[in-house]
Amino acid sequence: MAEEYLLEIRHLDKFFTVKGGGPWKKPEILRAVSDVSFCLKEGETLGIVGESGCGKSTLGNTIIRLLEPTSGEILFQGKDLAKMKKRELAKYRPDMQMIFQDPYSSLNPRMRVFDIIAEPLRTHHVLAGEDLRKRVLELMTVVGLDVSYASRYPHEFSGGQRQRIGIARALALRPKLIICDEPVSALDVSIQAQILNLLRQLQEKFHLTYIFIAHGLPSVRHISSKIAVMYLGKMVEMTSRDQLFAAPMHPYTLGLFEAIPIPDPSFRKPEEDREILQGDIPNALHPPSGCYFHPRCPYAREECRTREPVLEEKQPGHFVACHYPISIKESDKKA
Amino acid sequence: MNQEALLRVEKLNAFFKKEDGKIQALKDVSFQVNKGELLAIVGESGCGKSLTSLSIMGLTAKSCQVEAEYIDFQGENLLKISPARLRQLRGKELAMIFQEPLTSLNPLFTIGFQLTETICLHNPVNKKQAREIAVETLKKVEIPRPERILSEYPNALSGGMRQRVMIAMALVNKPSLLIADEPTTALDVTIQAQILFLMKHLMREYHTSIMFITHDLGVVAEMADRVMVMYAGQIVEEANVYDLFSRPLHPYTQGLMNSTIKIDQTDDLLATIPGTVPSLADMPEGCRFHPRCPLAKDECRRICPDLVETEPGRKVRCLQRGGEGSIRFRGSECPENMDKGGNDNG
Repeated sequence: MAEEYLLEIRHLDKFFTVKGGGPWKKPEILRAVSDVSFCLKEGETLGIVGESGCGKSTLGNTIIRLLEPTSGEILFQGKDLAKMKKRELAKYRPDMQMIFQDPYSSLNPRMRVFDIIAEPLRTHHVLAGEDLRKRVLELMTVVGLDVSYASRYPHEFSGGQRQRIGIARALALRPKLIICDEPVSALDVSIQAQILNLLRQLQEKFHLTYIFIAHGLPSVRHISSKIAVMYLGKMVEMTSRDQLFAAPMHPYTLGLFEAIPIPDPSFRKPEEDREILQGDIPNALHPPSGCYFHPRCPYAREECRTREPVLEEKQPGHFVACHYPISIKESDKKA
Repeated sequence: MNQEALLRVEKLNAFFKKEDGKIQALKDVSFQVNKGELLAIVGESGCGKSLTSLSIMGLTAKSCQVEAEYIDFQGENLLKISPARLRQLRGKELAMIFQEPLTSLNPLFTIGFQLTETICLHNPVNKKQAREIAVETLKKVEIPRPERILSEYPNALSGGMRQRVMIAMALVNKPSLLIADEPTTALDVTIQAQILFLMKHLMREYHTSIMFITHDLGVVAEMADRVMVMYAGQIVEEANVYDLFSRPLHPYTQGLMNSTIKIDQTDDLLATIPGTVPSLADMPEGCRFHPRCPLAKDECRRICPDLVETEPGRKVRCLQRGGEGSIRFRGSECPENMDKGGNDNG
């Protein structure tokens, strides 16, 4: 039951109120995350993919309550974080840490590396004095930073090294869950690989559970055991990594796969064979009726325009929100 | 090369002035872009790929000093011609698309104003005709309701639409060379696919050559005819796209390809290039890649290798590969994929 899962999200919503143009205009509601549910076991990695504005970062921030959820439950080891008071929540904070996208803005430029990594330990009164120093230097070694850099400032480091500092800070309190919000998308290709490898090694070493948010499918595939695809605040498909790549069922997922440039020119397809998703991502303030994806969907029918699909288990362990999911046969033909 | 060159750059060097002397950001960059071809320039941040394009366009900052034997564009040396002539060429024969479509459009003017301005500057047309051309071009880049878009301001458009407007603006005067500096990096992946498709299509329609700057090897594989790999201000490898991907010669190119995550690769750890790109102020002696290179030998630390043509159309800057390198090619330290390449070579 609930004990089995480290994290269980039930019907989580996060709405923002957006002020209208003038003082008389009614405020509008932006459904950044709507009705998201999933479970995560210890040691698993859930990859969340989607394009900009799909709510994947908002979801990450809401789970650790950097943003207050509008409704829904966030069960962490069976306890509902969504309803907790701040003081009670503080007890659980050390178990959940975050790694941010931009290694430039997520480190305080006025703090030395040592103090950046030591800050969570000091805030939670875990260690002090010589023990603290030892622990910080140990963390630096773990993430592959030279301990002699401890008294330097962030600006003296490259992007990849800064991301390592951010990872060391996230590890300081021995968390169970780390939410990685696009941890490699600001980095160069050769550095991305270094950071992804590091994250994997750390996961094995410390038995970590990750939520890995990214827009790059290749990196998500590399690190995740389960993948969820989001579109305009909703989960449209969720299943194990291998199942998703072998037989995607939602037309949007298939469109995402088609759009990824393959780094091998011998796979180049003639232009007329490529099925490129047409159209733009709609404005999240005024989403389309019915299925949010229908204006861009090559398979859309009348029902899609009027009735909203819900996330259903169409095959064991394979959740899809689509009235007419692509059958396995069809996706094979396409792949 | 039997193809006709459109742009030839010879020994391009660029320096930034600092209080304590000069920092060299580009070193002896020589290449050519042929008619009707798409040349991709790949490299990581700080390798000089953007600076190369800005130098060609004459758009470098004041603090940057650009030197070259020549930058020959259709028989004219862009470094020698008058500023007035350069202005004539820019926007007409030479066009550029930038990475961030929001910052390259002026937020205070409508799309129509900015687009017709480009048309009126280079063509003997009145406003009404210019507007017609603008609508026509917006249709070409597949913008819905072009007449309405003309009276919109840039903030009303999505990123993909803005980039389409930028492409329309660049192509409206049918340039012979289009320089695209990371045109899809700021876009979502499904939008990127649309824009790349559009660029290929328009390239054929307008007979434009494209110099495509990117860090994404996937995009290179989809788009390029020829590829130039840059590292730390130098060209390290140049080849036809198929040769480059099937048989990369420079250890840096190999490293880049290995660390690029393939979509079918899942479980094992990724190959990486150790270390980081050296800073321009503190370039290593000898080969600039040697501190990160798995094949580095003593000579690499001392000798700066030249860019050597190893076979027609292929150049590489590496002591272990270029020149007499084909003998060492089968050395024991070569990675597996290279052994195969070596046999093909011999």
